[in-house]
Amino acid sequence: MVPVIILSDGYLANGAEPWKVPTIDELPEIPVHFETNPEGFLPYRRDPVTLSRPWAVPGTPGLEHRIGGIEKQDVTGNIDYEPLNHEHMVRLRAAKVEAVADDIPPVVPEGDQSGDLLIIAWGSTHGPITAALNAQREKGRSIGHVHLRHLNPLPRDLGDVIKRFKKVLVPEMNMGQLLMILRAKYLVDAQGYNKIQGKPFKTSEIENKIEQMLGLAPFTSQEDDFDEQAGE
Amino acid sequence: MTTATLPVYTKKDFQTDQEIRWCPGCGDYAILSAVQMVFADLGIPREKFVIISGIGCSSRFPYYINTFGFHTIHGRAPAVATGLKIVRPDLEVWVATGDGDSLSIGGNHTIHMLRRNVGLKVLLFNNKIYGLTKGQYSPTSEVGKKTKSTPFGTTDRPFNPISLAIGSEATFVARSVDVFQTHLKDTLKKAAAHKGSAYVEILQNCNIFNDGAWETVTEKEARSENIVQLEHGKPLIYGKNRDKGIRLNGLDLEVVQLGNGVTEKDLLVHDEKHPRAAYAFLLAHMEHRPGFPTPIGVFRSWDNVPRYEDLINDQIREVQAKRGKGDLAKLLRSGDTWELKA
Repeated sequence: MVPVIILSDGYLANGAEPWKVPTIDELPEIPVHFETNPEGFLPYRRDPVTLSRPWAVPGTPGLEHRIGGIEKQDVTGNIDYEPLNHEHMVRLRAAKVEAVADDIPPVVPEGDQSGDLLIIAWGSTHGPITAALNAQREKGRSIGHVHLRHLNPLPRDLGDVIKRFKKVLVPEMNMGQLLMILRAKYLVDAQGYNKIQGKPFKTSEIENKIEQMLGLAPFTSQEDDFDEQAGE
Repeated sequence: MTTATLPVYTKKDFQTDQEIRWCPGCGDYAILSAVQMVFADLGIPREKFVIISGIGCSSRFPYYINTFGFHTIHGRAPAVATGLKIVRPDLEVWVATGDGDSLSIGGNHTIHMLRRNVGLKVLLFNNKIYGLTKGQYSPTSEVGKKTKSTPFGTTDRPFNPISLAIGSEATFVARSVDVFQTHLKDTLKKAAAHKGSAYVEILQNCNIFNDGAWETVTEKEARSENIVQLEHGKPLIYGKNRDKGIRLNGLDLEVVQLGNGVTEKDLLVHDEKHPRAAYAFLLAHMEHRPGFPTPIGVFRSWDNVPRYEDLINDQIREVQAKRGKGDLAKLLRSGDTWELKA
């Protein structure tokens, strides 16, 4: 058991595009195991691989137990206020979330697999970035694009992919939330490109930024970029 | 015919080995003890009980009872409990909450749970203060109360929880007191037997941050003068010498002295099944009126209102009988869908 939070944005929520409806048979099964055996049952004993706890639903004889926000002892689930136990449990829960990365497929950039510039993005920016990437690659520029589907945990090999490129650009429809995480986690001098106008990026804006990053166009501040666009 | 064996429990079966972190002398201990004894007496398998709480001193309750328990999020115990009760109507789902948890941040959840008549038992531990956060005024603190967050006295008009529950069309509304063990257990048993939402306000003493908040009700010397017990079919009599009563006067109540021509026959006879809200409101608002006693007992017990979980599950059964089980594949293709073919 682990909560899943899906991030969206206004452009995705208000947009519409044809989408292939899956057939039910092709959806993966999500098997759920409910614990029923009271023999040796311990509510906070964890699966060694996923680190998830057993799931004993109310009404199961002999498995009465309590869950909640007060810190518990590992394995027994007893309330435990010991400082070292708290640190252990915080690390354990972080490891459980991190273990989700085992199910995330390896990162394969669109475009070039190594080269001068890597664009890392997520959410509704996929369209204009792809268009800009194609246009720039046709001009012979070596650029890759990773569009992340998993933001926490991040794919295990993202750091290795980043190292295969000279520069990293992170366009976002916010003040640079992913940018901060990437810079902190990978110690990479990634540059943000941020638009917070309730309107999607234009392909030309992304292309212009790519050319700036590659030293092919004079560098301008972000406000100047958008002022110029507004004047078109 | 075979006779089903009912489990035989004692209070001990409902105790846990967890260290209880309430202050020594807290009224919560008395409530815990009463609930454990009542659970043992109900003859229901232990695994069928679930206690769901929010946040606060009272919300630590689940940890101390050996049943299934969920210590959930602030004010949201009714939401979690409603979900569970819908999918598992066979379970006995009890909510433990406080005046801050359920009347401030959780006020919305409380009223909607009550109007829907979900089959939950709700224990409102009312100590008129925020105890866990160390002494700020709560939605039931009296006007003018000086606390850490109201150094010059509150200017808020407090909630009367009984009145709020009645206004929310709750089908069972009762009040008891932490130190009145017999009355409390009796009230909890009545709540347990009720089919819909059973709302029990328990006047509870926080001896650290609001000591004596219910003194006028609990003081041995004063209590018989300050409390009137509501008993179905019995007149509202109180007083040390049982010489005072409550009489209906037009659309209002009045306190009368028995004698000088006034007899028991003139008094209001309690009817917990009374169909008019006005009746229960009159009783609820005696608490704040000078010269009136505080009523304890069952204010209202309506048994003719369907339960939310029954209505939902009946509807699902009916629709499935008519239209068959849901088909996800059909649902996904029920709107404006088309297929692009190469």
